[in-house]
Amino acid sequence: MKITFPHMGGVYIPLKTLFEELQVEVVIPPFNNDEMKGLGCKHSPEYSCLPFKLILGNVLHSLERGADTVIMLGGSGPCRFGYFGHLLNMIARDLGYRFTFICLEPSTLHGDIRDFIKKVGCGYRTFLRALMLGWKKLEAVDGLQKKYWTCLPYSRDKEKSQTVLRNAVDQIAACRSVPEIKSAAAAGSNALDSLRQATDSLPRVAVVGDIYTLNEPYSNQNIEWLLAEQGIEPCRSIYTSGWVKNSLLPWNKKAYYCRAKAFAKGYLEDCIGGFALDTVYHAVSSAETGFDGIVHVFPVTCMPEIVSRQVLEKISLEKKIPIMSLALDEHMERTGVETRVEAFAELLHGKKHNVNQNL
Amino acid sequence: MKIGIPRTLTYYAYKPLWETFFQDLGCEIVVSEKTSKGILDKGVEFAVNDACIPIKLFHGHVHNIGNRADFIFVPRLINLTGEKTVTYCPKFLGLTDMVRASMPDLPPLLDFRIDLREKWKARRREYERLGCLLGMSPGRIGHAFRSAKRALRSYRRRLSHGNDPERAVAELREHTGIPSLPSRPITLAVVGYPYLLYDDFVNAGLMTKLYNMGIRILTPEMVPERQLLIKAKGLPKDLFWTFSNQVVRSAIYYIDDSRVDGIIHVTAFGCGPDSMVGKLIELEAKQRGVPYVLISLDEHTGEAGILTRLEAFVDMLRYRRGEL
Ligand code: SF4
Ligand code: SF4
Repeated sequence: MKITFPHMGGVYIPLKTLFEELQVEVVIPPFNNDEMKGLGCKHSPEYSCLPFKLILGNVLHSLERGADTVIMLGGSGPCRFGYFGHLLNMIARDLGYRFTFICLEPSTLHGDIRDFIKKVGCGYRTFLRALMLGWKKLEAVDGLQKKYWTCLPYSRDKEKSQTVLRNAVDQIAACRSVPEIKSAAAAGSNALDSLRQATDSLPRVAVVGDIYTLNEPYSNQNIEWLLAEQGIEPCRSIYTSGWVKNSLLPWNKKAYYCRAKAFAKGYLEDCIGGFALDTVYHAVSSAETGFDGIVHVFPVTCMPEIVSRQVLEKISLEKKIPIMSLALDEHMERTGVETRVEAFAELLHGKKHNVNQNL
Repeated sequence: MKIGIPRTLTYYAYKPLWETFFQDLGCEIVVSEKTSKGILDKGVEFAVNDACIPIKLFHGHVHNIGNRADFIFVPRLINLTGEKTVTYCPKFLGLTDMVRASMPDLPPLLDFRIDLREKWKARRREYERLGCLLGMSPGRIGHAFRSAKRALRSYRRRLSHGNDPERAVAELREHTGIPSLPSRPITLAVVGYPYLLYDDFVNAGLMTKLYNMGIRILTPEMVPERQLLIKAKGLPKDLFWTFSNQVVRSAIYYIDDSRVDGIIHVTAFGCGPDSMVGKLIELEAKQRGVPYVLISLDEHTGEAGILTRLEAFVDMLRYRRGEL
């Protein structure tokens, strides 16, 4: 069995760990790039969202390189994500690939995992241990990322910070035990700190949107980097590990959604699928906790985010917080995004400056 | 009391439901005018420009009845079938919030939340809330809603005999026939959402053009519900959207139907669910060798463009039959 899965930010790390610990061969597609995009776009329906196109590109690439099993998460809507797997399966089969397709549906999760374990021939124990190790890595990597983005705008040498982060992430990915992960993460975090330079505090913006676009820099034109370059501190609202904790674990789910709904009251009264509620919730809460601006990123035809985009305009007016919306698709030009980020940064710096002077 | 109903989205599919509901409550209904350039322009003004044309039009229609009604009916339609994972397009679910966010000077919105999967208690609470707004008892609202559902069921039965909604409603009162057709007409299944198929402005007169070309038209509403459920079993997984399911299932029904010469899928530019629906239909049609064409509608769709595409498609079908 040669297993493959699509990218979404750092999720390849825990998955790779999981499968390698179980001695299953893994085919990891290259990080998203123009080749992936081209491949995905060629075979995707025209109006599907950018995440689907990239995911399809990833899977086709791996199938071409000999993967014979594809694993994906399903879902129960109402956004398109839950149907991605099946559509992908149909498209790849139509192109003549033959492979086993494992779609983890929330309703049949237990059965799926049992079947998988049987197929691999490992014990439950080993499986759980591998899963736990992977999960710890994901948490560590996300924690480090968060740190990285808060430090980056203050960094003496941004390129160097980037190298530090990359090395630390690679180190964490290669760890075989939890203590190793911890020390690797701590070392990385210290190295990032040491590059920090004392200056006035810079404007902070919350970056909100759907999970894929937020966590996949290629799909958001590396927006956080662009912001940091302009001396703005980006704060990503959803990290994969945080989302798993808040929305997948049944014992956290209810509290999280109650909180989200309380914040979104008056703006979005219902959970409408995708990440619309999260987007609105994070936008309102960051407006209320002193952020200087909001950047909203989403794929062009994303239904839930189009609703939240319209709602964010109202939030922007009522809470008096500047919002920049970036609808992303495969034709997006980098220079266009750069100009918009520059203009937005100028606005924020100006505002911050005024406030500081008035104090 | 005057209730304004926008003539788009759920209007075409659920017209009798809403009409019976409000008549039963003793309210007067004001329906917005037929879609026009003016309504579209207003919609474009109020909705974000990433939205699809039906959503923009909805804003336009709301504006159109804004000053003629005491309440505007913007339902939050979540589930009407009772199927567990099925709702509507996320933009339907967030419609009230969208309208509220971008159109400040409106009469109060009647945001009736309908989710038939919910327990009796939750539904009762919703009736109470609506009752408060309208100054009526929740019992009366519940009663009206039940009789509305009955009206919808009988309307559906009529639709499956092959009349488009405008006519099916007329048929509740009088019997009207289908226009006479040549002896062996080309038969096309035109599949798509009701708010695209039955709004003559959005689709640039597509249906009328087909009628005038002497073509027999079959639409998703004409497939008996039981058949749709049978077709659903052949799909790997149900879609999450009521209308989309109807479109996919009916398309597959028609692909299997030997009477049908070709399939036209009408979609809105940038429609999220249709990226999936379209691909499913396309793959299925390709496998069975049934001719298929996609017509995508946006603000700039012109009559001439549609006509050329339809004519080309129909000519191709005639050629296949050996009539040309
Ligand atoms: S949330 Fe948006 S981008 Fe993500 S799958 Fe759904 S429609 Fe696509
Ligand atoms: S189903 Fe498509 S056309 Fe209808 S509202 Fe949703 S995105 Fe727009």
